[in-house]
Amino acid sequence: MSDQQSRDKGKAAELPAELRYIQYEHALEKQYLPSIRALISKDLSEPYSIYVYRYFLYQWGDLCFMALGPNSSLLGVIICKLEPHQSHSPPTLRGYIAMLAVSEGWRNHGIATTLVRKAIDVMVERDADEVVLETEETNVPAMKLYERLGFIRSKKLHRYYLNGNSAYRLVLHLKKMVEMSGQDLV
Amino acid sequence: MHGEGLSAISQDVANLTLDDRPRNLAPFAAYDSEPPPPPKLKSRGVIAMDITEQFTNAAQQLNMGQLIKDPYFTLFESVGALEIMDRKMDSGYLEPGESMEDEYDFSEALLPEEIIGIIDQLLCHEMAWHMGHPLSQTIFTSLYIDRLLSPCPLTLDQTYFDRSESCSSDEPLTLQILRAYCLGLIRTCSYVNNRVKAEHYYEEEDFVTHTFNRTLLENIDHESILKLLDETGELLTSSSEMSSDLKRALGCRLRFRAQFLKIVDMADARTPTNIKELWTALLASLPEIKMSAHLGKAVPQSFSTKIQRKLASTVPPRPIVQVGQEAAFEHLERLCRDASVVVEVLKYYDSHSLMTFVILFQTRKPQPSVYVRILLQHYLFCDMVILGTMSIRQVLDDDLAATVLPAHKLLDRGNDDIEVPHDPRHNMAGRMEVFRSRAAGSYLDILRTICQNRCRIRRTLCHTIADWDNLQLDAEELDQELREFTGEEPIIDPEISNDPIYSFPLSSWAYFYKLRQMEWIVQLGFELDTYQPEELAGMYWYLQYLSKTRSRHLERIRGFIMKTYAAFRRNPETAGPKQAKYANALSFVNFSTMESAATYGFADALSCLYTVLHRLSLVQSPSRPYSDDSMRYEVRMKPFSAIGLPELIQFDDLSQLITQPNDSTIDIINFAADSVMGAKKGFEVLSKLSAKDAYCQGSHDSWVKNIKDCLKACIFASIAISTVKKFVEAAGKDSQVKAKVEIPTAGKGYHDWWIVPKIILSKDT
Repeated sequence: MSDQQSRDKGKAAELPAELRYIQYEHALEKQYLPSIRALISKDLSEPYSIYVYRYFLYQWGDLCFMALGPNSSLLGVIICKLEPHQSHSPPTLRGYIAMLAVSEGWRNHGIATTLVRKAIDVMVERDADEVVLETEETNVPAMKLYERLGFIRSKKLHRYYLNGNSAYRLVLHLKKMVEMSGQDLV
Repeated sequence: MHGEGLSAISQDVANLTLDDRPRNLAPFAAYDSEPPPPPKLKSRGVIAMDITEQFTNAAQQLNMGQLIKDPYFTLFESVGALEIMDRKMDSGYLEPGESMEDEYDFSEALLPEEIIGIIDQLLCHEMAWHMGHPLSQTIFTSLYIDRLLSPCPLTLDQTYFDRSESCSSDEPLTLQILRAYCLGLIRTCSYVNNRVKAEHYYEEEDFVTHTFNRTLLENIDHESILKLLDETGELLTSSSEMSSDLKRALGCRLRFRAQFLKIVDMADARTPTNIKELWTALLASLPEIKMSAHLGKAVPQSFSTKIQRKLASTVPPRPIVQVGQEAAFEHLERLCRDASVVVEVLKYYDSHSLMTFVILFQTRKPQPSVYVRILLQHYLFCDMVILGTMSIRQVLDDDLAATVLPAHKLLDRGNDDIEVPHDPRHNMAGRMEVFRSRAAGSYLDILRTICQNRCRIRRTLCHTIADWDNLQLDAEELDQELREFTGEEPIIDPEISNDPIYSFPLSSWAYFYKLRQMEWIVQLGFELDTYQPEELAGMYWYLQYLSKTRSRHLERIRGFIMKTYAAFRRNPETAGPKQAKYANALSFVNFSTMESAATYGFADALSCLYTVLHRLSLVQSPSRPYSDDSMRYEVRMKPFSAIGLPELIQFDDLSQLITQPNDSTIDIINFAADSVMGAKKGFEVLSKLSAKDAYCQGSHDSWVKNIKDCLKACIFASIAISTVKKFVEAAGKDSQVKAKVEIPTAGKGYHDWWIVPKIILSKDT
């Protein structure tokens, strides 16, 4: 889905001292959902409806993390899901990073990396087998971020986005294949 | 997972019948104090009851903002959901003062310059559609096109832009030109759209065939549109209304439109036609249009995004796709050129040349446009008649004969006529039919797959490769059964094995193609920029491993062909055409062996080069917090993990093979230098082969170009290797090499399948 990493290598402001990361929970919807939507849809030509956000946040709120700055302003957010997956191969418990965004002025500070790591850490705790995501072929910083963590490009998806750009599917195995959930999930 | 529950529910829903006799459906019934009557449901075993009270009570238990979600609400549904009054989601949302539809005066006359402007803009939109954008954001944004299509006309008389009484008798020439052009355009689109829909393609990814419930003038006779285009052209010639420049500009556009329409109608034919010349002629007509484009005057108000509200679509109007004139002409020119080449596929030489043609045609850069790729599929497969003249069996038998079974009794058509159940020929015919029905689909799917976009080729091969593994196993069983009927004498060679050695022709054939496809998967990975720099040593190692395996396999095939050939020569009764069949199969095996040798030589050299660059720390592989090398190797090799033969190399073994811990750096780089020289010689020899010997009849030029690109990459690699060799020789054991390595991204090297690093000396060395 969407994935907006910094594309500009320009100088950004100093990290605020009060930067903190919090895990999402439903009680925070009223306070943060509008700014989450605003941050994520900023660069999207077609915004997601409220149902898309709720689809993820309602079921996997614990896989959503927010980076908050001064006055609890939202600087970055990651939204994921985790569920059994089966297509051509044996079933796995698959984490999926659906959305990741960092406010433009706060990029290049490792906020996105921290958000991704926090989400993956929870997935590991919840016994995930693998994590996948798609990212636009032109979004080099995002690919670098994920590749530094251990993801590799498993395939290229032709004209995947509405703007006609292709995507890469990035995959991270958290376990050896023989140790994956396999048939237990069916 | 949830599948069963979901289907049960939809079954329940399907069983219900809603009583939908006319009722007074008051809008905003919810605001009335009187609740609406419950819907009358008629279904056996279902008793309807009013649950309004229970529902209201339950709803009151919820806190504001609390969510209720049933387990069947999917991501797909959430993405499809709309928010009313959101300008990006609600198709009926209007900005303050905005009108729902355009008010455009169709009776107003246009200047000839404006007609040129609109026509040229439509051409840009047409090409944007060919590039993969939807009609709704391209051609359908024209108010004139909308006027023609809605309401759907049944005759030409219903296509006047001006719908007033007198319109038909006094339609201005300019509007008639535009109308004729638009009719021709829509009809052309209709042919293209139907052709695309008939073949294998990916909707939205490759092309959008969706017409949003509009009919593309399928009710109007093709000839009458051509006639109108011709008549309008004549009218224009005799007109004294405008300058000769403008007349010429409009005239060439009308002729182009008529020509294009004729071609897309004829392009489907697989019988010999002059279609190649027609595409070339269409290409030749473009410069005149291009050169007169400056005469045009844009009429932007005749295009509108609002028309999308009238189309069958749930999304709000999206912006008009902007494809510039230059890009549009470039696309059209390429389309004409590619289409004039693709018809050459219809001339069949041999099955291997056919596959080479399809592969090379698809590697043309940029990849031929979807319509042309679809034409290729149509020529190849339409009605299950290959190239319009051959049965699938014919092509498959050709390929078996030219690879493993030259002049073999298994392929003797006469076997089909034997009905005596005990006759070996009857049994051979039966078993071979079993094999064909098992293998034909997989074999043709290789060709069909290669016709897809580059990403899809790799993705599809990654899935179908497992099928080839099974095909090989199934063929092995048939091979064993067939021995009883062919009376094959095994090779007894204690130096190789204590067991008798049989030829296994059918499974040998399947194994050959499986290996080819595994090589392509790895090679397409290079082309699509799938691998990270530190994976390159391993991936080139794998490529050389697969290629070398193919080479050894070909050696085995050659051995058995030679054996039957020797037997055949001892028998003076058989001669003539059979001799040629043996020669052909041996020639193919030799060619494929040569090609594999060049491939594994080059791959081996690059693998070693990257290993040395790792040792010199010029290619880094940083530690990754959530993964290790062996886990990433599992992700990378997943498509091959289920393949029985060749067995996947275990990570630890592979790691040893790549890092070569027992060899010195200088030994490894020397080996790379030798290997790349061998590959270079190989490519040189290949580049001089005739079309027949290289199995590229019908596409020799593209083949030579491809080999020459490999050769260039090979030469470039040998330079890189000798540069690195100098470092290694000059540097002491522990000293750091002062250089930098640049790895070109896809499309930036001499050949997409050969990623050759560029070694850049640091200034202070």
